[in-house]
Amino acid sequence: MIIFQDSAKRVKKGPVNLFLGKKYPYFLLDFHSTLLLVTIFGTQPSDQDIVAGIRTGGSQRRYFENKLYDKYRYLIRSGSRNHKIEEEDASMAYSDTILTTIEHITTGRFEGRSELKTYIHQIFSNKCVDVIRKRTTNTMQAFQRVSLDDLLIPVPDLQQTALANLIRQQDHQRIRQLLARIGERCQEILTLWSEGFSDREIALQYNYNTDGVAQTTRLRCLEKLRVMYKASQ
Amino acid sequence: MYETIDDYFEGRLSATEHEAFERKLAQDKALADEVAFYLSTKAALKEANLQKRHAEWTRQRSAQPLRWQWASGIAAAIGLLVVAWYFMTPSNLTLQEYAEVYIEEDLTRLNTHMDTANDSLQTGIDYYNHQKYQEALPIFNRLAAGNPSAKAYEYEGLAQLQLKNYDAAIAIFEQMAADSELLENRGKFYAALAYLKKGDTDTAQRLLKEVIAQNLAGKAPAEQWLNTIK
Repeated sequence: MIIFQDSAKRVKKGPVNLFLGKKYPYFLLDFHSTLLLVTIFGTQPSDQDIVAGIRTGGSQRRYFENKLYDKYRYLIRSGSRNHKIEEEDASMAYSDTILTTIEHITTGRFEGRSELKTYIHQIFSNKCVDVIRKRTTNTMQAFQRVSLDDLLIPVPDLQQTALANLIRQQDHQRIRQLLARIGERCQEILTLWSEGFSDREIALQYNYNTDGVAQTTRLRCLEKLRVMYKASQ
Repeated sequence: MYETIDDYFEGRLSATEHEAFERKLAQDKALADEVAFYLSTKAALKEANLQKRHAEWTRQRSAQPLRWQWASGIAAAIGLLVVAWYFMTPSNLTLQEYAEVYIEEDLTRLNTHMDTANDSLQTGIDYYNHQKYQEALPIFNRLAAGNPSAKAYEYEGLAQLQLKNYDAAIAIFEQMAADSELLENRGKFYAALAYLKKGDTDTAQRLLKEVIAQNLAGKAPAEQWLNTIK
């Protein structure tokens, strides 16, 4: 069961911000300090800064996501060699690792108990093994690289297999085509949801009054897609 | 219907509702179909997003011109003068971390020599690749017999490095570095790793700079690491 935590609740009051001269929460101190240092010196932000930056959301989230990608990019080469897979596959597995890690950071599944570096190493290693497994079982075409196991985590073990089979029976090509025709706003909102953005963040981005409005809009998009899907069968 | 499904997957149902949902899911085929569609859509979106972000990340990095690296280096140097005090906290931890990850990722597995007629070397490599450095060490030591040009000598140094015998490893790597007959000389780079593990960051940095200046093996990671800690 995934426990979704509100990152804002974990923010502690921090010391005086050197650049703003006021008392600010830690993540703001980190963000301003880090952004200034990174801009001036071209240094890598620390893992703590990256996690705080991604959790804070808003416009800086993408910035820190890119920094996270850059920071451990060196893994691609060693992954390719250690697992004996093509560098291109290792590179895609690495991108997938970063997106998974970002989602785990935003949803609270990454709780910071282990170091971010160790966490990324572990996920990347599993993704590389997945590449080999999917190659040998020829399931690459159906689901490409997205892990069904991850999506099914909240479901009890006994029902996971049945659901996985039902998912495999869906016309994934058709869903992809319909998503391209569903309308720009729906596409954007559903994409944000799939990336782990909360309804609160979606509401902020689109000026909805409440999180509930964001959820209703998102689910209407999903229902619209479902109707289109059924009509096309 | 999607509201309950969404609340279930977003962890917003109460314990009772959660349990009731799972019970219904096990019995109701229509609900299971909707859940499958919900998750399939999410999977399709994730896949599309992965393709998009991967293309962005790889395009940006491959298109990044070299001069930007120089520009960021110069900017870093200027910035360093302006508020050097801010950087009084040592940044060598990052460099040591890089070395640790490099050793863990790149040096825990030696390439097997399929064409080698030397069974002993292969045995040593097998020991090494199974983290049995203590067993591998005497084999490499015997095969190399102090010859810096021998592959076994490099492996002997790496086994010493893994065993945390840094001084012994450094002695071997420095001899390797001084050997002009080695075509791809990793001695200096490995010595830098050993110095980093030993805690002598200044010497390690000097060696890494020499690796870059002399275009030796290990130049690419050395550049990456030094750029990072600037």
